Amino acid sequence: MINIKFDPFDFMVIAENLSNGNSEGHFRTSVSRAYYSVFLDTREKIEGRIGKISLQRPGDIHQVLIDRLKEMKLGAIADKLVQLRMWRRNSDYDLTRSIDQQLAKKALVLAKDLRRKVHQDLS
Amino acid sequence: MIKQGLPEGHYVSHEYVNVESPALYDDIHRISNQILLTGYYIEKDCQEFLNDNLDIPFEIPRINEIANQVTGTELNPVFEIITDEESLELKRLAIIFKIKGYSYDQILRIWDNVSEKVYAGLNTITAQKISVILDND
Repeated sequence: MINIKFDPFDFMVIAENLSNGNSEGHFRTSVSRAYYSVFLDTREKIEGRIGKISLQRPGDIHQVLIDRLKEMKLGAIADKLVQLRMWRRNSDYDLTRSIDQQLAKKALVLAKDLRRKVHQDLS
Repeated sequence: MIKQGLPEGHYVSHEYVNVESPALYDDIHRISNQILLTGYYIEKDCQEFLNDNLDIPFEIPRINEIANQVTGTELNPVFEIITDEESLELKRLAIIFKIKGYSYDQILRIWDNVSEKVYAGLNTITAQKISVILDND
């Protein structure tokens, strides 16, 4: 069996489809997938450069990735990823905060901009 | 006891003026940082973060000035501790500028410009403790 690596961009396509949905569940999942699309893409690019990132706890990868980007003097990518991560945190964990279509669309604009920058600066 | 001709009640004990005391040194920094950040509204959790990271308060007026220069407006940042349910121990400070009158696409370009200038003047350790975020209102 041929093992083809999953392309995180597929999550971006799914996020786009979900952003055209008609419920808060669609919009929340859209924001989350938009974040993971760029997060996984960035992780792959960085690990391609510096090797596998070692972690004390698996959950630390999100912040450790930001720290590596700061070490590489890629502050704009790091901070844009942080914004997307904050929206993703709210979408996945905060049930009291309203996540609407406007935010889902904005998260997609940010995710696409980030993807472009990651491919430009880390390839 | 230091006696400098003051009335008895005004004598200053060496315990309180030992400039070699690390605790006093930190207190002086905290007070001077609070003076430096007069005019900013800072929630208690963010203030505690700033007290524990004395390299950051000094940078905030500089970052604010860069954002003002790039946007051509007087901006007033809000501060937020970045937390993550999956990584509770790693906290960072978000410095968030809300900008009126621009589309989000335009803000993304402005953001690149602000970031370049901000991080050009920061060492990596301080840079890793903060995130500068631009958003539309």
